[in-house]
Amino acid sequence: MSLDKKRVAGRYARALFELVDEDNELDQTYQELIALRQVFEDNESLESALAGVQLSLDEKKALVQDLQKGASQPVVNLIQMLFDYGRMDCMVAIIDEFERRYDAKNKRMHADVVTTIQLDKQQRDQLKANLAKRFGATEVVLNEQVDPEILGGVIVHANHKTMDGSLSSKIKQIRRLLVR
Amino acid sequence: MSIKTEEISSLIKKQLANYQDQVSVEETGTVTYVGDGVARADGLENAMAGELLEFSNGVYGMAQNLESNDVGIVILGDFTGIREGDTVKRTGRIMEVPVGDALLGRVVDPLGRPIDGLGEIKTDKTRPIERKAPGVMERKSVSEPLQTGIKVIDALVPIGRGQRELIIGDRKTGKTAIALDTIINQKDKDVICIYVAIGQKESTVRANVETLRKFGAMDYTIVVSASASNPAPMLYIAPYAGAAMGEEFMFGGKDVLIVYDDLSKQADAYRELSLILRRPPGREAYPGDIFYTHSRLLERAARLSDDLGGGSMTALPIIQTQAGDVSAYIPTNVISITDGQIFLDADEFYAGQRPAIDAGTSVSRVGGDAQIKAMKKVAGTLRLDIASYNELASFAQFGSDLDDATQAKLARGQRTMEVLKQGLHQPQSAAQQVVTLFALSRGFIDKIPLDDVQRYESELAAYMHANHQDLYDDITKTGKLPEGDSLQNAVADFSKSFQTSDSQKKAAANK
Repeated sequence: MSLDKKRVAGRYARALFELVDEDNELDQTYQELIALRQVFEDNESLESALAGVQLSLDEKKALVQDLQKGASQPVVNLIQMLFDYGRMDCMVAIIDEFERRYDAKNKRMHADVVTTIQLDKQQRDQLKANLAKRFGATEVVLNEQVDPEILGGVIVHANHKTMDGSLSSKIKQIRRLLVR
Repeated sequence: MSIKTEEISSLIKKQLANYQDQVSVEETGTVTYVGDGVARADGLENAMAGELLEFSNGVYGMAQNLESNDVGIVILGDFTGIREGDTVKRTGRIMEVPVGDALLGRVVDPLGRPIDGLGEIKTDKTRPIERKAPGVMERKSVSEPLQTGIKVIDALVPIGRGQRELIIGDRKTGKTAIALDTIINQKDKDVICIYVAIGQKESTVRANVETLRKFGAMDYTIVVSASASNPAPMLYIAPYAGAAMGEEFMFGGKDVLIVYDDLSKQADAYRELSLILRRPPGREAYPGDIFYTHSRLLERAARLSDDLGGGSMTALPIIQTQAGDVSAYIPTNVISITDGQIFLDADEFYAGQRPAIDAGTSVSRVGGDAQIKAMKKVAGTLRLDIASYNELASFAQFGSDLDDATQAKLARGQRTMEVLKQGLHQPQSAAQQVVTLFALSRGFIDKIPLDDVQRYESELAAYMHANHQDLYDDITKTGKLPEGDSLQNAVADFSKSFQTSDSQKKAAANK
C-alpha cells in the first residue's frame, strides 16, 4: 500500500538525516545516496530482486555486499538495516524523502521542466533565476525533459505546483472559449 | 447559402477578445489510487475540505478526506477515464450549483446540468451546496399551513411552511404519490417546489416528471435527479444541491417545498462512499457521521424571520422501511430530526385504505399551530374517533350482539375511514375538505350507506360549488367556519336531496 511505504520512508529518512546531520556528514551521505539511487534506477529489477523471493538469501546477501562497497558507515548501516527488516523496496522512497529534507535545509529546489527543444545555457539560467525568485530558493536544480507534444513554451512542475505556459494548453483554452 | 467569412471571423474575434495570455499557475497532485468513484491523490497540500478538484480529463471531484500524506477525493462523474499518475488540480472553489428562476420547469443532475434535453440553463447565479442552516435569530415559528390537498394529512397531521415532515413506509405504499400530490396541489399558491430524486430508476423519474407536467406542476417545479446508474457521490450530493436551489428562493422571500425521495438511498450511497474512503464503519456499517449528514440537510428547512424576508423552505424527506421496521438505524435517526412523520402502512394499503396513513403513529409536532381554524374545529376529534373505532373494530369481530351506541360508533368509524380515502392525483382545496369533514362530524354521513359515501362526498362538493360558492370563499378567506347556521343548512339541504343507490334502483324499477 502506497500510504504505508510513504510513512515508512518518512521515518527512516528522518532518522538517517538527523544522525548524519549531527556528525556533519550530510553532504557526503547525500552524494552517496544519490549514487545509490542511480544504481537502483539503472537496474530496474534490483529492487524487486532484493525484496522478492526469486533469489536465495545467500545470493541476496552477495548483492547487498556489492551495494555496500565503498560506502560510508551510515549508508552501509542503512542498507544492512533495510535488508534485515525486509524494507528493501522502500529504498528509493527513503532516498527521495532524504533529498526533500536535504533540499529544505539548503533552500534548494527541484523542478521538472518540459520543453519542446533542449534548453541552452542562457535560457536555463534565466529559468533558474526566475524560479528561485518565485519560490524563495537559493539553488534550483532543473530536471529537463523534451516533449514535442506541447508544441511550444514550457511547463514547470515544482513544489506540487504546475506552471503551464505551453502552447498546447493555450490552444486548448482557446478552443474551450470558442466552443462555449 | 454562402458562408459569410467576414461575419464568422468577426464573431470569433469578439470571443477571442476575452482570451488572456497568462501562464497558469496551479496547485496539482498526482492520483495514486482510483476505484469505485473514489480517488486518492498525493500532493494538494493546501486543498480545503469539500473543495472542487479537477482531474486532467475534465471530470470534477470533491476533496473529502484530508490526511497526512494524501487526499481522498470523491469523483463526480465518470471515473473510468482517470488513471493512476494523472494530475489533479485545485480549483479553489467550494462545490457550487447554478440557482435561480431559469431552473424552474427543468430536470437537472446534482451539478445543475440539464438532463431534459431542453438546452442550456441561462443563469449566472450559483450557491455553494453546503451551507450552514439559518440560526436561532434568523428563524420564526411555523404559523402558515402548507396545504397538501390530501384530506387525511391536512386534517390529522397538518404541515406548516418551514416544517420538516417525514414520509415513511415500506416500498410500494404510496410515499412518492403523497409527495407528488402535494406538489400538484401547490398550483397557483406561489410555492416553488423542488423534487430531488435520489437513486431512482430513470424510467420512474421520467414518469414522475410527466405526471407533474400533465397537471401543470412543472411550471413551478425543479427536478433534481441522481438516478440509480449515477455513481454514489452524485447520489450523496443530490439533496444538498436541491437544498441550495431552494435556499435561493427562500432567501428571496418565497415559500419553497422540497421533497427528498428518498434519503435511505442517500444514506446507502454515503455508506458506500465512506467505506471506500476507509472511514470506520459503525452501526449497520453506516459511518459515524450519518446522523449529521441528515441533520445538517434537514436543518436547512426553515421559516425565516421577517427581517430576512419571511421566506420558508418546507422539507418532505422520504424514508423507506423494511417490513415496517421503523426502529432501524436510519428511520430512527430521521424521525428524531424531523418535526413529525407520516407513517404509511402496507396492510392498510392493500386493504384499499388509500392513502394508507396510519393515524395512530403519524404525528406533526408543529403543524397544529399552522392549521386553519375551521379545520381544527371539524377535525379536532378525528384522531380520537379513529383510535376508538380501531379498538372497537377488532373487538367487534368476536361479538355479534352489540348495543346501539356501539353500533353507532362502529358505523361512524367505518364512514370516517371511507371519507378519508382519496384518489391518486386528486388534491382537494382546504374549503372542500372542511365541508366534507363538517358533514362527517355533524352526523350527516351516518345515514348514508357505506358504498355511497364517496359518491356523497363528490356530489356534495359539486353541489356546494354550484350553489354555495360564497361559503367556500368565506372559509378560504377567513380560515374560519361561517358564522351561524348557513353551512349546517346547506349541507342539510343537500343531504335531503341526496339519493342513495338503493333508492335510485327502486325508482328505476318503479318506472
